[in-house]
Amino acid sequence: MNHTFFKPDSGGDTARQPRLSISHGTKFGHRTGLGWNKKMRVLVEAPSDVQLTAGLHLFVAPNGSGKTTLMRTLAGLHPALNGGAAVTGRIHYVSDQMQLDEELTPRAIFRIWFSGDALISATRLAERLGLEVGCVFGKLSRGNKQKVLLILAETMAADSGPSLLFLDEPLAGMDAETRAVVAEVWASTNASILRLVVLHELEAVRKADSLFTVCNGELRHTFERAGDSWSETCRRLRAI
Amino acid sequence: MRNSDSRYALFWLCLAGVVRRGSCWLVLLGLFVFVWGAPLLTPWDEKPQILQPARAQAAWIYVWMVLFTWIPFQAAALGRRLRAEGLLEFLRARGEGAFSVYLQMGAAVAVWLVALVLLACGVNVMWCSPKDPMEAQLWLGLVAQYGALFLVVGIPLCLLGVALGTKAGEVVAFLAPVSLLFCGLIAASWLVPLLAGSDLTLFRSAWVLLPHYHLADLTPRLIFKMGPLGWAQFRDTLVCLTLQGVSLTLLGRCLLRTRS
Repeated sequence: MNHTFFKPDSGGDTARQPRLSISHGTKFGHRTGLGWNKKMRVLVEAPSDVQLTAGLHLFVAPNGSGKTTLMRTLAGLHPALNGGAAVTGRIHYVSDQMQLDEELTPRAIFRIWFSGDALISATRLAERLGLEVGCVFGKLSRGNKQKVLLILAETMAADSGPSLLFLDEPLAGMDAETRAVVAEVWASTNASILRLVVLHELEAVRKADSLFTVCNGELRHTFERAGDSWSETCRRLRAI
Repeated sequence: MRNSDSRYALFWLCLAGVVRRGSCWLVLLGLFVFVWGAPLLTPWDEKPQILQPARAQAAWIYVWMVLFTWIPFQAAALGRRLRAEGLLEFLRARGEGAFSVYLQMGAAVAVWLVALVLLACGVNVMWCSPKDPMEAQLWLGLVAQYGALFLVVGIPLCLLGVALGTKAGEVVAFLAPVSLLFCGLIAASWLVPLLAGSDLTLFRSAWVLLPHYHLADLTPRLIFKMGPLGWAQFRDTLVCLTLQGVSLTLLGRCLLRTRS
């Protein structure tokens, strides 16, 4: 059995493109039971090879279909049950449960993580998203907490050379206006970043490079947008 | 110049969190209050010359008390919080080394231990030092040895507490280093006749494996102005406690859990 292997990049080689390859037959899921009686619980299986490069790749699927398990596996936090995935670039994985110290303000967090131009761009993005950087993290609303995490991950990814940004429901709790701004940011900066974004609502996203979904445990993927929107593409992909 | 890879960002984040909560300042301030107040509870007015050594003793008792309480509590809470927040797996996915993460987390707590030891040494040297220059030099040597041995004991316990915090609940992460410290500092003197003097290999082995933190407690030497340990004795004690500390640090590394 092949295991997932990773080639994380230290971030110095900006000429290289971030890449993500999932080979056919790769199974994502959990092993359950005790050592002598372990059983595989497959949530998602890739029926064909998938090759992704820089750009915005959407991932839309019902709750419990294995999106988070797949993302965690690609991020190197969970072993694949079978098959393998290869990753080139530095991974930034923001889970939907991620939090930061609730006593620190976003301003303090950004100042600790960033300096120079990176700090300036983080501050600009915070202004663009309408984030109140002086309020402690614990007192921010769900949407504003998501903004802090998004700014952190986006700024790191922009500064790390070829990067893979795995975002698990980053727009949860955000208002429609902010979602539109985030979609603009994703559309405008994708030269060295591969974004794989789990979403439940696709209305805000007009421009994307591909779409994944999971149907009956099968990973389906398309680069072609069908119909007027990615929502329509998702419906058609699931209906195949 | 862009720079998102702030060196030791996790350390600074953890440190900022501790500072923001504010209890660290109370702990540092408490040292001066304890050093000033505790000796006044003794019959010092009958024999005023005991006040200075009593202050030195109070400073070190306070530092040991903090190592029994605030330090392991902070370490356990920090470890549990960072794992629960998902920051550790975020760093792991980025390719941060687990040992670096472990040391940065531990350092954010250990730095307060270092600050306390420096303050205790400062109190000892500034306010409790003997007037005779020869005695003062011996006193200074003893205080320096005490500070070094204390840190060799305390820092690995901080690291172990942090690692256990990421693995188990806060209660276990608090009690494990405190129990080790209790065994090594206090219970060791009760167990000497039972274990060290026993004919049974099992008991003697248990004595060897027991943490020997009592070796770092130089308070009696301070009280009775016995001067510093001889170089050979100090070196042996330092090596023994360092080896124990390295073992605990490596154990903590094995226990560290970065996945949420």
